[in-house]
Amino acid sequence: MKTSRRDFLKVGLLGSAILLVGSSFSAFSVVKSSKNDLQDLSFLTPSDTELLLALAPIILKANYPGVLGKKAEQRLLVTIDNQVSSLGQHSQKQLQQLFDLLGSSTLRYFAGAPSSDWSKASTDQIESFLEGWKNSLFTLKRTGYAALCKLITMSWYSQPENFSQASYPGPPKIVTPQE
Amino acid sequence: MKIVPEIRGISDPYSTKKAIVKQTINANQLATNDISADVIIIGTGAGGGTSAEILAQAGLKVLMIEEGPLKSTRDFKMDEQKAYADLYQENAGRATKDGGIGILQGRCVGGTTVINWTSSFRTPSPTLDYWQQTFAVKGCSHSDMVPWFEQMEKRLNITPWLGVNENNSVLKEGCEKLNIPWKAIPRNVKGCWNLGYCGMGCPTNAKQSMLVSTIPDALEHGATLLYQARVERLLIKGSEITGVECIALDDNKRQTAKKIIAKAPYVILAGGAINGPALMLRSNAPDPNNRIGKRTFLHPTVFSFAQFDQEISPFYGAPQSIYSDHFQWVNGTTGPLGYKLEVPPLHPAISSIMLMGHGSRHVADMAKLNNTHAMLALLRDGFDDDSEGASITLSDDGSPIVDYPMNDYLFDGIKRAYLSMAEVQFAAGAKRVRPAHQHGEWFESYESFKKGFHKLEHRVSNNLVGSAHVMGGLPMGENKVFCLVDSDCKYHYLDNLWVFDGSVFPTSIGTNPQLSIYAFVCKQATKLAKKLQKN
Repeated sequence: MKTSRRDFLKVGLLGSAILLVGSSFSAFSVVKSSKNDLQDLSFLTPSDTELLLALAPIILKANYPGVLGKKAEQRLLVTIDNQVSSLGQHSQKQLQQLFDLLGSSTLRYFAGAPSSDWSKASTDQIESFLEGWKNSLFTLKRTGYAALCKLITMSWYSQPENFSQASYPGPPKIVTPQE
Repeated sequence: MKIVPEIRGISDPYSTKKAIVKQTINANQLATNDISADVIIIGTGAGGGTSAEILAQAGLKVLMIEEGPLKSTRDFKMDEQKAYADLYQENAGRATKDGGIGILQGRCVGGTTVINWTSSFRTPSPTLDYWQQTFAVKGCSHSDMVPWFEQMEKRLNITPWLGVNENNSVLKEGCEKLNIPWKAIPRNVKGCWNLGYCGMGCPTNAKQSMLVSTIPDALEHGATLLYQARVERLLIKGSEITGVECIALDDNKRQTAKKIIAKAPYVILAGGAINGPALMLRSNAPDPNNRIGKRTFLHPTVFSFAQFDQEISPFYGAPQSIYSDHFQWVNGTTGPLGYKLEVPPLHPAISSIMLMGHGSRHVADMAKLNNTHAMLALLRDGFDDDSEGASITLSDDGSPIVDYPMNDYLFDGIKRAYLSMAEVQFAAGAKRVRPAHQHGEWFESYESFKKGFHKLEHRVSNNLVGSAHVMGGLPMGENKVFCLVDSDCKYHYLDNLWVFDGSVFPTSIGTNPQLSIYAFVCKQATKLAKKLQKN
C-alpha cells in the first residue's frame, strides 16, 4: 500500500510538472531557438543534445559509435533534428515538453531520472531511468520512453554505415541513364 | 533471396516528357498569385490522381494542388532516411494524440500510392453490404462495383503476384500446415523487378502509382499540377466554395510568404482522411451535426516477429504477396474485431522501431534481421458500437491531431491477433517468436507462447500499433445523422464540393484500401465528368 501511494504521488507531481512546462511552452521556445550553438540544428537545443548523446550508448550498446567513430554524434543529432523538425505541431510540442522536463534537474528528480547532468550520469543511472519509464503505469512515461528509443534507433539504423549491424546487405546500385 | 545487383536503363517521365514538364509547376515559381481552372483537385493520391485523369480526358481544365514535393524516379534511391523525409507525412513520424498508433501516410505528388506496398484488393462484399444497410449508401452493391473494379484493375495492371519471397512464404507455409486458407495478393505493377523497395518510391517505374499512371496522363490532357502548395482554407460563401487559398512551401516544407488563390466552379477534395477533414475544420465548412473528422479509422495493425535458422532476407522481394482472411469475417461483420494476416518488409530503420526497446536485447535482435520474418494483423475497425475510431481536431496552428482512444474492444482483438500470428509462425517452422510488445520475450514453442503471453499487459505504448490506412472522417451515405457526402460523394451542405478519397468510407475497408479508393473515385468522377460536360 505504501509503495502504491508513493507512486501515485510521484505520478501526480510529474503530471503537474509537465503541465507547468507545457503552459510556458511559448516562452521557452523563443529562448531555445536563439541559443543554439550547434549550427546545423533547428529544433534540438544544447540541453536536448546532451540528453540524446547520454542515451545513445545505453540504447545502442556496442553498436555505438561503430564505424562512424567520431562522426557518430553529429550524424545522429542531425538526423534526429531533421526527423523532429518535420513533425506536426502537436507532436513537436509533446517532444519539446519531454526534452524540457528531462533538461531540468529539479523535474528530473520527480520524473525518476538522474538528477545530475546527463553527461555525468552513470550507465546504471540511465539504465534504471529507461527501465523505470518503460515499466511505468503512467502513459506519458511509457510513451516518452518509446519516443526516445524510436528517435535514436531509427536515426541510427538508417545510416548506411550501420547497415551491417542489422545484417542488411543494402540496396542494389543504381546506374543513372545519360539524359 | 538475391536481387539484381544493379538497376540501369530507367528513365524519369518527369524529366523526359515535354508535355509533363511544361504543365508541372512548383508553387514558389508560379508567376502570379491567382490561378483558375474548370475543376480544382486538392491532393494527388489515389483519389486525386484517378479523378484528374478522368476529368482531364473529358476535356475539362483540371488544376491539381499538392502540398508535398514532386519526387520522381531519379529521386528514388531505396534509402529509408531520404524516402521518409521526402515522401511521408511528418517524416514517417505521424502518430495519434497519445502516441499509441504510428501512422504511415504519403506526402508527395502521387500521395500514398508512391509509398504503399502495392497490395490491391476489391472492397469486401460484407463491407459494401454494411455500408448500404447502416449508412444508406446507394449504388455500392458488389455487382454495382464490379465494372469499376475491373476498369481500374485494367488501368493499373492489377494481377495476383506469384514471385513470393521468403518473408511471405512463412505466412503461406504456416497457413498450409494449419489448414487455414491463404491467397496470392494482386499488385498494381507492370514489369516489376521484385526488388522490395515499394515503400521508398519505385526506382524502376514498375509500380503503377498515380505518379507514373494517371497524373502524367492528366498532364498530357492539359491538366496543370501545382506542387509544394498547401491549401490553408476553402473560401466559402453561403453554400459555395468561391476560392481555394494556398501557401507556397519551400524545399524544407516551411511556409513562404507567397499566397495563391485558386478559383474554379467545382472543387474536389482528395487530401486524405487526416488532412482533408482538418482542412474542412479550418475552413469552418457547414456541418450541422458536428460530424467532420469523426469516425476516422486506421486499421490498427499489430506485429509478431519470428526468427528462423534459414535466411529470410525480409528486405528483398515484393513486400506483400500472400494474405489470409481466415480471421477477418469469422465473427460476422459486427462483433469482436476481425483481422487480416499479411507480412511487412523489414528494412533496418523501421525494423529498429518495430522491434521496440533498447540495449543488448535490441542489438541482438537487429543483428538477426536477415533471419527474421514479421507478420502483421490488420484490424477491421468501425463495424461495432465499441469501435468509433478517431476524431480529428486542430492544433493551434491548424495542423491536424488524430485522437484515437485505444479501448478494451481494440485490445481484445489485438490479443487474439498475436496468438493467431504466433501459431502460424511456429507452424511454418519458426525457432522463436516474439510479439511486438515492450515486454514481449522470445518464446520457443506455441505452447510456451500461450502461457507466457497471458502475462503481458496491453495498453498504450506497450504494444507496437501502426497504421498505413486512414479512412473516414467525411463519410458517404444518405443517412445524414452520420454522413457528410451523398452517395455520389458530393458534400451534403455545399453545392460545388465533392470528396473523392478514402475519407468518404463510413468504416474501415477490412483490407488494404487503394483499389477501393480507385474504384469508387472512378465511378464517381465518371458521373461528375458527364454532369460537368453538360454544363
